[in-house]
Amino acid sequence: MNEKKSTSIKGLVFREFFLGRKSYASLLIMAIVVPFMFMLFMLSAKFGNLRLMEDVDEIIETIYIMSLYMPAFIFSSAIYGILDAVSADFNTKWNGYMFSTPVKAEKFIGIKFGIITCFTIFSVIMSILSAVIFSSVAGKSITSDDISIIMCIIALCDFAFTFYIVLAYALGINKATSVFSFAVVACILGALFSFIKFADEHMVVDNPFELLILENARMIAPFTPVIIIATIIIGYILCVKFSKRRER
Amino acid sequence: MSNYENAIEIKGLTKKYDGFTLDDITFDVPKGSVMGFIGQNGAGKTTTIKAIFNIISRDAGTIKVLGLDNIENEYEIKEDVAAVFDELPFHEDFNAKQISIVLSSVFKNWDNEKFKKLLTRFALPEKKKIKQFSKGMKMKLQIATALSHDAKILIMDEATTGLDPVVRNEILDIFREYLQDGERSILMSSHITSDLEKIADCVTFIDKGKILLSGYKDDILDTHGLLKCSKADYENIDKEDIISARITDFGVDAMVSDKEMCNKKYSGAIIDKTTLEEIMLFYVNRDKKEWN
Repeated sequence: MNEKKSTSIKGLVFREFFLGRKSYASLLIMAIVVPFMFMLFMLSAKFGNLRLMEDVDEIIETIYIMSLYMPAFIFSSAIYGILDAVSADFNTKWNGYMFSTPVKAEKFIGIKFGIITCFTIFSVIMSILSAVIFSSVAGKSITSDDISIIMCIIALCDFAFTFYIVLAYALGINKATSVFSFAVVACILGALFSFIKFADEHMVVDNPFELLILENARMIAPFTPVIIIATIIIGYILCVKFSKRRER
Repeated sequence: MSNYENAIEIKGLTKKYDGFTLDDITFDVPKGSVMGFIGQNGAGKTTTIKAIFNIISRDAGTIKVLGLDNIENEYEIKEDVAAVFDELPFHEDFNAKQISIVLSSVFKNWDNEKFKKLLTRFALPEKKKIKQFSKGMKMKLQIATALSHDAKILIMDEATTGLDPVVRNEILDIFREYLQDGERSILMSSHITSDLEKIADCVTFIDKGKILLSGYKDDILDTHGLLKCSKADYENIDKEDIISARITDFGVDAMVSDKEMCNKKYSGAIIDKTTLEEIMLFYVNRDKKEWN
């Protein structure tokens, strides 16, 4: 028998990035364009036409808040490239073909979740760095509440995307999309109901929405590293289990 | 891997679904041979192949590939097995060069130089996206990927369906070269019996989840024959001697499985040579016995 060398993962990693390239390209464009737009708005609000508006201070504050938190959404959405790859796995006959190859599910799924882990770390670093830069430019300091909200955004995006990937392996891509959409709508309705209830209880507060987010973020933030790690580990375990499932 | 006589050994394979059962499938693919796995659509060919790859769980039976159990030694076996399905399993935006990069991570014995040589031989462009390939080009690309990691067995599931005769012939020539060293084997499932007549050494018929026939192709073709007679003469034929009979306005064609015996028993009858396609047709209609 031929002496066999071991395989590297380079080709499979390349495959994941190639299939998600359109999402990564969109992310890169957004990561450049959005901060640039914020900068332009800020400049206009301080030195240009927008400063002539009555509520310019409110506009500056809104732009500032968005510039702090929007990068977290943008960088977290890098995981969307993995969703593109998962979708391609199901829409071509790749998943069936993988059964005929010597690649174990642990390796194949492990590569996907390894990339998700890397993107998550990247999101945390880049989001906090962006927040520090924008707050410096605005002449303000980043607060622990800002970090809490950023971590919650990343944890939420991680959870949502991982949940979708697990659903895809459990149910197939079409059913996963339906179930995920239903879950998102349910969450939005739940959040809306919570907000209305909260606003009723705190009628005297000026901005109940901001207070609701802050209260929840403060509560959840200490646990976000655990949530992110648990999401990735449990997501990996479940995806391996479902992908190894044999037709009954 | 241990020394083995048969590239694939299937014994008593059973798999039950609602409305269909793969029932006690037993056949071997001898080392160095081409096994034609014939049956009509829905007969159980793909289910059997899925069982070989452990894509489906089985209810009973054993499967050995290259002398090893296909479940206990699943990943070891798969290094030496190449699968060719009816569709290319790569996203259409890939080109051949990128596919080679991917597969170098899949198979330990992936040989990029061999792959490039096969691309040149098949006149396949390296940098063109596969969505721009014709069906024949896609199949040739699949075969090139299958032949580029020193596989001992090629398992093909309806791979030549939909290809024109020129491309099919080209592919059969490639398979003849593949088999030259006598160590490699092919299991080829198809309902295009003409291809199998050209290349197969052995043939296995499957119908409704059961094996009807399995053996060397030449033996099967030698022992089977098409008895042609008038309707009046057909009445004198013992129905136990025939598989089934096609009754037309012009006479009767009856498939016999023991040509020598029937030649002696029905000395005046004409028993013509037959083809795999006719054998399949008559066996499929065996329950009806008489049909038209």
